[in-house]
Amino acid sequence: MNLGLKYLLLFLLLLVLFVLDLVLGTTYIAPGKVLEVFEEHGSVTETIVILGFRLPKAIAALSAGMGLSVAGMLMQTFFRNPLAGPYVLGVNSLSSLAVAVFMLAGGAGSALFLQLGVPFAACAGAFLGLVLLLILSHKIKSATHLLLVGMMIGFLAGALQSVLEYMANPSELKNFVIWNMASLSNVTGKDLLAFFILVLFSCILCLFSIKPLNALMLGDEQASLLGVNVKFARNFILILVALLSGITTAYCGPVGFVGLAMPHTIRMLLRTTHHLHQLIGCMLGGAIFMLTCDIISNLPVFDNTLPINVITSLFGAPFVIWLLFKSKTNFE
Amino acid sequence: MNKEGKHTLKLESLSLGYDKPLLQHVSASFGVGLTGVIGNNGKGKTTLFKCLSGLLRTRGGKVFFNEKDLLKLDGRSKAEIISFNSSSNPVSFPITVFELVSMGRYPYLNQWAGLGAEDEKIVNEALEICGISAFKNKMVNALSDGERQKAFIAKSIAQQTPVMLFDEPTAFLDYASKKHFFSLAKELALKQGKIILISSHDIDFLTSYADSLLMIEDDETVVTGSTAEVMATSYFKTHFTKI
Repeated sequence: MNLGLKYLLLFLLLLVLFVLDLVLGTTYIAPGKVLEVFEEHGSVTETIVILGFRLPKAIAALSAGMGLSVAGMLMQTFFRNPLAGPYVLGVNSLSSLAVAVFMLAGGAGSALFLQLGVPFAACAGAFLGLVLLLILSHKIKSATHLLLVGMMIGFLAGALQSVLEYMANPSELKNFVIWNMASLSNVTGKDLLAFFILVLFSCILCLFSIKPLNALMLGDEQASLLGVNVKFARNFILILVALLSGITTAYCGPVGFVGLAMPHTIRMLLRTTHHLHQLIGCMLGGAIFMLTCDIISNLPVFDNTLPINVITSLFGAPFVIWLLFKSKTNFE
Repeated sequence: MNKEGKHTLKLESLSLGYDKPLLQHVSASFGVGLTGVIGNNGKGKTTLFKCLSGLLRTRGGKVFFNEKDLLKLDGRSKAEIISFNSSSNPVSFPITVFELVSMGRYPYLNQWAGLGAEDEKIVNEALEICGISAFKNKMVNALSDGERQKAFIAKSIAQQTPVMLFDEPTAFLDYASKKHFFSLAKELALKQGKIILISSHDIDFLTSYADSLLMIEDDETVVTGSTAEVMATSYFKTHFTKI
């Protein structure tokens, strides 16, 4: 099957899932009625459910899926490590820690982030993580060491977060735990538009790093021998990763698994490592995966909506294991 | 360029090393043809290549390609002049032989890294002359060490640079492939007017094919000259001959 056909199929699948996400949920709304809502003559209840709840959630799923998969792809290439993902660099951990400080450390904690809310705290944390990483990447030349240092920062931030959790009062703790399980339904209106545009913009910026990314698969030395400005590419890629994972964490909380799993799935599916294809593949694949997870989490078979992080891992992990067993194109 | 309009590579008082200096004030000049770089382990053959290709900063001195100061060029212009085939070629990604060899074209491509028809032709030719066309769609990490070495040699050839550095390119090759590599390098040098430096411990091959030799002695003295001249030195006789 050629690449064009694969893209077409992925795109069609994405459309179908997007529609399904609007149709399915705790109550079924027939596609015809969904259409009526968009033509502005649907019933009041259905209009509220679709426009106020399901459509924003579907767009959030799409954006989060794209953002995290692309961030994961960037990191796996940059670190030449199949285990890399937005989680292992400490960027997301610092983001979570910042939110923990905001939500759990009382008045002083929220004052630290100027009372500007959870998204701001998450972004500030991610930004701090990025700055730390950029400073470290100047000192540490080996990508593997940088990866390890990133993981250590993650552990450190995790420990501090545990201290805060341990000392927090039960109601605040519950709110934080729920945020930590991630959710797609907290973004609406202007925030949603900003989320979608920022993710799309960052993905477009990735287009400027296609050649360096391809060359970096062979390592820093080989890339620089092929005329790539490795130092510049390195900073550019790190900033993109922080943007993509920072934005997503800010709006949806720490969504796990997608960033790690999607790049592998796309590599196996498209059977090419050219990053132009990987980028498009990850954008489509990430969106498809998150929409699927969102549909499952809202199925009426569960009494309540399940947290999105439960679904991504519960259904995603076995899928990736199956893929790995089937695939012949493994990492070494 | 020299008087005949051929490329030249000149080292002027080049010093190199890591924390401590390894080689100091090396001056040498290379013309079109094959130059063998010989010396015992750890004497600076790879370090020399790394400095020439810009991977490592020199500790002083200059390198001229024709009239251009090579060390002052930006990465991309340098990559159009000099290619370096390193002795360690780790590939952890599932990338195909064709994709790998295509990367030789990167200095000439824009940021999308899409191959033009001409690039594709060059890549296919490189695969052909290295005898690996048959497995161009195979994954590099599924190849044997020797096949992988050939794939990296093909990548250097696709880069089409006037100066080519090969660091122990024949370490994993069988006898026939070694012979094929040396005659291929010789042909590239003569037909396309390239300056090719090869470091190798396959002394017999080097002395049969190389036009000149650069020998690093144990006390860091660097001796250059035609193959016959260097072979006549007492250091060569004691260190690089069987009896």
